[in-house]
Amino acid sequence: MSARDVYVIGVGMHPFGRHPQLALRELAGEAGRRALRDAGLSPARVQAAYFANALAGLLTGQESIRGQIALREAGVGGIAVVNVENACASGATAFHQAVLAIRAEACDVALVVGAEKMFVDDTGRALAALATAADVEVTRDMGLQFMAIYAMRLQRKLAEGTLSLQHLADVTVKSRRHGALNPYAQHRGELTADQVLAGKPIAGPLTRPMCSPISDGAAAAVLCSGPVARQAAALGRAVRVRASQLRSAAFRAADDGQPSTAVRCVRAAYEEAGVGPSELDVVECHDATAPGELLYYEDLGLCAEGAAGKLLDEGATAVGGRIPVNPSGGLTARGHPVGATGLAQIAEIVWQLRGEAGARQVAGAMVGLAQNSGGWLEGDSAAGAAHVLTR
Amino acid sequence: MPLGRRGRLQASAVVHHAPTGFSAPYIIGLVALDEGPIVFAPITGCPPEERAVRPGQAVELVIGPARPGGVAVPQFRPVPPAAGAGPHQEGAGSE
Repeated sequence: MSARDVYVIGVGMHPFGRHPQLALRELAGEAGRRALRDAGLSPARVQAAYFANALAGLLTGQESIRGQIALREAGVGGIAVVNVENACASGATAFHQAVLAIRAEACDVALVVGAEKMFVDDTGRALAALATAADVEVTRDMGLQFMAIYAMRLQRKLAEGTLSLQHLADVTVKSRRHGALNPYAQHRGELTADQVLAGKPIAGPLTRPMCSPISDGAAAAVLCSGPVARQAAALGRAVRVRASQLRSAAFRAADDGQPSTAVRCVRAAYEEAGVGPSELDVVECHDATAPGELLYYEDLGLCAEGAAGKLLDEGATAVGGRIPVNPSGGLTARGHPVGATGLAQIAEIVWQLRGEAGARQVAGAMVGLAQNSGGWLEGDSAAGAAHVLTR
Repeated sequence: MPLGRRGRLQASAVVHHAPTGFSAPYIIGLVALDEGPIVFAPITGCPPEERAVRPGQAVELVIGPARPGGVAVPQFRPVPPAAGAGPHQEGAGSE
């Protein structure tokens, strides 16, 4: 356990949902305090903090120093605080910065908090804010809507027949079944495939139950170097960060044959960790729509191209299956407060690897992947992050 | 790179739940211009229904607002079948 090895020794969340009575700082403070308590560290031990948020500037008007304000609620002040904004990948991007700082031996203990408050007067305003995670000079006044981007990605698969409407419904049913077991999830109720298909249409074939909801929430992680992690490790509570990768959209990203942001990022993470997709025990991926999870099965190498529907049909990606994906319920059921999502994924993987995930526990999980995407640029995710964690 | 007014629809989706300022339903799409680049744009000149357009369809540029009070933006509309014949048939054959 060297100084350059990085461990997660604490995670915490504020439940995702609709919290009109709570300010961003209260959501963030709760998640940060829980993560520190989980780590058994006082706020005074934190040497650097990273705060992930994407939309508060547009939705609340608070710009520039969101982290310095929010982290005070977790008892953190005076130290280095960095505000991280990277669309829906803000959370994992902030986590990545903390990993780099510890590896560089610039600090021993770092706190990362992601928080978002998206319930405002009307959802149209939240959707409009989300649509700014694209090049607004290119897309301004064009009616860009993110769920429609997922619908376009699914269009080819549906036309080819490798995916069907039933798959889109079934993967949503799975997400909701997992979410029902997660006390931090926004949607705790199960749905049938018929209920999913009968939902209000949002974009293309996607109905409301298939789409991640507007959410308020926060999630946090405490990272530390090897020497600091020894005590937690002795208690079986340290999870090692084996890979931390961040990428952006390639030039002419939409061209045929160009590997996607997610593909390039995850391949780099597998290489860094020295593990392949077949060695993963549990995956959290960025299913901003539940059917988007089906596209990620192929991007993450969990199945061959065109085999995502089959993987789902076999039950492989449900808890109890060969490679459970989104046991937390994913973005669709857990909720998607965008700046918090990447850290909620990390928290879920940490709980899974420690065996603390309760009714949604993946038995014997030793290796987990968290994959987070953000924004849209030239036809692909503008940002992508991937982390491999091991017990 | 000089760009022309023609391309082919690569993907599209009907938006049923619109951001503020837009009224659903409407269609957005990705258009592969004949010169190569792929661009995002609203699809106009056809009913806002799933079956109104299909991938591979020839489309042409029109400039105008995509929402009431919006600025003029590049949009694409289906090329009528007669106008879609000619040079575009070669393009389709080379894919």
